[in-house]
Amino acid sequence: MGSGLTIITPGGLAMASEEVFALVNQCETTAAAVDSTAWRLRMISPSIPGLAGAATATAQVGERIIFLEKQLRELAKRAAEQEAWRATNLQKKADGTIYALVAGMVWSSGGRGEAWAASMRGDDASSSYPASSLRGNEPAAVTDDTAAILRGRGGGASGVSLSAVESSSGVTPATSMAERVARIPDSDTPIRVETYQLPDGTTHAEVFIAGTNQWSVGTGDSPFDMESNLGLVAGVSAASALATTQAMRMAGVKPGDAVGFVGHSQGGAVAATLAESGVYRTTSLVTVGAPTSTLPVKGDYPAVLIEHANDIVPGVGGSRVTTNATVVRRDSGHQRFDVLGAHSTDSYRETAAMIDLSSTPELAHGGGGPTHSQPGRVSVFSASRLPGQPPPG
Amino acid sequence: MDANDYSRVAAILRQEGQAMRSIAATLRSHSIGDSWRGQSRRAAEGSLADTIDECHRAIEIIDGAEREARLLWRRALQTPNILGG
Repeated sequence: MGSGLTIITPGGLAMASEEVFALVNQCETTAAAVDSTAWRLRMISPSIPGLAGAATATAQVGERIIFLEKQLRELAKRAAEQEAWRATNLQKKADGTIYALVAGMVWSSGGRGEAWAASMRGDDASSSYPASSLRGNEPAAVTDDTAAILRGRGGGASGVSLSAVESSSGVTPATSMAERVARIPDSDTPIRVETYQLPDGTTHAEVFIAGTNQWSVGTGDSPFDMESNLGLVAGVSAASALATTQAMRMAGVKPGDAVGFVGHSQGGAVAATLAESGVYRTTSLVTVGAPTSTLPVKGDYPAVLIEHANDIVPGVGGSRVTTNATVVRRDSGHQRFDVLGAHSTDSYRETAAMIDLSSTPELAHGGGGPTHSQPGRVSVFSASRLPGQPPPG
Repeated sequence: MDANDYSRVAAILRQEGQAMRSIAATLRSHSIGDSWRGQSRRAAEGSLADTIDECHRAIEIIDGAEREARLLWRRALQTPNILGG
């Protein structure tokens, strides 16, 4: 616990509220016992001078235990509310509800971003979902219309154009989580593909994918925009995923090849989507600050989802569904409204370095799949939407 | 509530248990001497002894609550797989 990392391995997360209430009852009994002692001390202290200090100290112990009991009761209540909220909204999801990454649209609509961010943190008492003090952010629920629009537009996956801006040989595989996060490219050149020809004749690739670089909804030229974010979270096709598969194809990666995926923010959602697509033989997945809550890992490969508790982006993917992934959370220490700081790859690189020091077995692989030291080839791509391309069928 | 929460609760209860032990020690070491007033020396000693007993009962209950928090902490670490790294 000294590292400040909370590591949630597959299998479950919250303790039952009943157990918390049982502890509340224990505290209640304790407070009553201490109060009784304090009362006795107050009664005898006038007759036995020198005991007034003990009476005061006992009363203070009682007050602190009552405070603890109230805090526990509040936590249990909120946990129960959250569970009820999750159950309700996950059912809705089945008939078309999506939890959308609307931050960009709100920000671009004139300074309401902070209010939105505050409501995401549970600061807004008028929000329609319970305040979340236990596990960070609950998502905004955006329903039906957005999903319908996306489906009508083909989920934003109109044509994309790729350019290799860098291609060189001699790269060696990353060996640690920090190194993998450091290899995520800038959003101007959002896709980096490393390919390694192994001695047995097979290809191993590692794909590094950057996050959103345009906060418009399909009107800009980047496939890594808000429309793709919405498409990914809604579970329909997305131009950013299309661009990534195209880049992989250009780098020589074929369906069925062994591939490890690493992505930041929207790139993490693309990484999780492609890792689970069944097209490639996924060897590993690492996402940082990504809205992957509704993109469960079902495959049998090492998967690590790294999230900062004060980064709003991981929370907007929705309530987390059951996943085989290991989730690592940490408070990055940035100020409340420093959204960019908590979400930046620089701050996630620090967390990745801390993970490399962890002795937890699920994190021992450094975020990679099979280890080899074969030198390989690296290609970095820029991507743009093709203008005027009609949405596919 | 995760493992860290239970750990914090157990730590607080441990601290309060120690505070009560310290109070009990103060009571035990208190000398009635000639300072008692308004009642017989025997009655004052009896009241103090009863209070010390009461204090020990409170300590036992606090210790029980702390054990419960530690149990939940261990369970949070093991069964639901929530680990503090």
